[in-house]
Amino acid sequence: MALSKEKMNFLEKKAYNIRKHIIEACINHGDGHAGSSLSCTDILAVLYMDIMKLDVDNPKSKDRDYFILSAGHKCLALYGTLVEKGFESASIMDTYNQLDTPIPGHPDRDKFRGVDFSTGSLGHGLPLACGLAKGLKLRNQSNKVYVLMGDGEQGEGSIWEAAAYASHNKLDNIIAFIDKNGLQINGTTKDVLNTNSLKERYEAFGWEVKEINGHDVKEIHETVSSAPFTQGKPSLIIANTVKGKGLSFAENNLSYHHWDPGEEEANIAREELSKIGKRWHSE
Amino acid sequence: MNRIDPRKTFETTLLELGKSNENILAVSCDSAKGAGMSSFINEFPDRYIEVGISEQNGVGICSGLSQVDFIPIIAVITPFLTMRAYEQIRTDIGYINANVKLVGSGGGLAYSTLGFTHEAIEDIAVMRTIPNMTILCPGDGYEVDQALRLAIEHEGPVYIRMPRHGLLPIRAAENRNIEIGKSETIVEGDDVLILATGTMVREAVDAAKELEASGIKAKVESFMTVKPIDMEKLVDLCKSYEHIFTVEEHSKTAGFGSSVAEILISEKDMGQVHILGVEEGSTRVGPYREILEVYGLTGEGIAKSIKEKLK
Repeated sequence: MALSKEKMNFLEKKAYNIRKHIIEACINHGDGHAGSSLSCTDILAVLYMDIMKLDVDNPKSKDRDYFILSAGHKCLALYGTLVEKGFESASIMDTYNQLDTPIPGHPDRDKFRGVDFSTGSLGHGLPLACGLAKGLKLRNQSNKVYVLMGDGEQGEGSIWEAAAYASHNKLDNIIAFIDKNGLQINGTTKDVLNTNSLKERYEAFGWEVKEINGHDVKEIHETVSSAPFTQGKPSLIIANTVKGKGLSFAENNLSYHHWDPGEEEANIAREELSKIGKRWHSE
Repeated sequence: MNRIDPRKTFETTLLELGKSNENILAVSCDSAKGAGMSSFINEFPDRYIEVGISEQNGVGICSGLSQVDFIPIIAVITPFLTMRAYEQIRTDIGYINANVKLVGSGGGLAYSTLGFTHEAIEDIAVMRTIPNMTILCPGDGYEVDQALRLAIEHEGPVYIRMPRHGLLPIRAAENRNIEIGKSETIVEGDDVLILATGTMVREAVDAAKELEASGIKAKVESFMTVKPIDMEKLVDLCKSYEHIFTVEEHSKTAGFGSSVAEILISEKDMGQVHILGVEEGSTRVGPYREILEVYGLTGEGIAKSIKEKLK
């Protein structure tokens, strides 16, 4: 089903709001994984606002779809998304980096309702997704398991253990994303540990893979709605993204894996946000 | 007396538990048969999760399965489970208190002919650091059966350190009542206190007999639960003895003896603690009983160490 203009506008606005949460949290409370969070924002907006079955009043509902942020450092995007979905009020973002915050630098499911798994150590998400997906199949439940990984994260061996398990066990209820922003801490993924053949690698592991523009909500929506791409196969969406998307000076810039903004950058960021935001001010 | 094959006991009990609790799943990293899961698998093929040789994935999968209310039991040769997948156990099982049961096949020196890659003399040390983890070290057939039952009854992660070689009974099963977190007095004696866990309890009983022949009356206290340790009983007992010997089929570093010492160091008027176990980094190989002898972990060896200290 084609995405209506209204729906597209709604999703883009939600993505904008999530970006604002990420950027404001860093400006107001210092250091955060801004670049990594901004690259997956549009994917999270589409998943949480229009794809996943969720119950805001009962986050642990057995009927829900699951989401695992395997690349847990992108959590500011998840927190912003959960706030926009109504799991918590926006004021929670003001606790970022404060003592005993429910929104730490990596998500803790015992601290923030709506977080399915505590993540942060890379390479854990896909095994967890396999266990959930297998368990749901054993229970004859049709819930889906979404998992978002980074491209640098693909260096972890445990991911490939799980990739083999998922296809061997026909876990077509797994829909995985790789937020392929092309950068990791020490350089480009191309230089650190080349990830250019991810599509071929996952296909060889028995997955059905699609490659999309990870900032085009329409394309994200259409692609994820068509999953599983093939019955009996796990689906992977390689989302080509820009690290730091929405912050001009941070885009594709290695130095913004973490961001601890000074006054000047904060001003530019807010100016840029308000320019983009004008689109919805007249609504 | 006949030695009991611990894997056969495990196999029988697992099958029985599987019949009464349909949430139990057997998770295998190409390891189920060696661990004594075959009967369960034959009876419940749909509840057999074969992961292949991939322990990190296996532990992650168990965590995922537990989130939809299954009770996964994963059994793998001990080092590959407790050390290779340590971080998955810590993060995806321990911290989130997932209801997963981890079975280390062949704890301690069980694989003494296969060398240090397969021996496990560090597993208690690493599992002890995992939050919410209960550690059970059964030492005879009765305890293997009970450990598995208690693990399933207990809501939360449990690590069972499985023996591999034939086991003699620690004492007559009729008079026993084991609970998680409670130690058990096996032999009474006033002169010296032996605290033992798992396979070393029976050796300690043999040591007590040897010591008695030399006029030394040893009390033997068994700790099937290494964590949470029976602290009250421990402190109470250790006040009454000048010399306390801990015995474990494990490295002397950071294991059962260390956990005893950690508690006693904050208490007043405690006896002196002597830790009997394996030196870290030991790589001697050979038949199991002979290797136990090499490290002084037979009844005779334990009695000898105690007599030397008391000289």
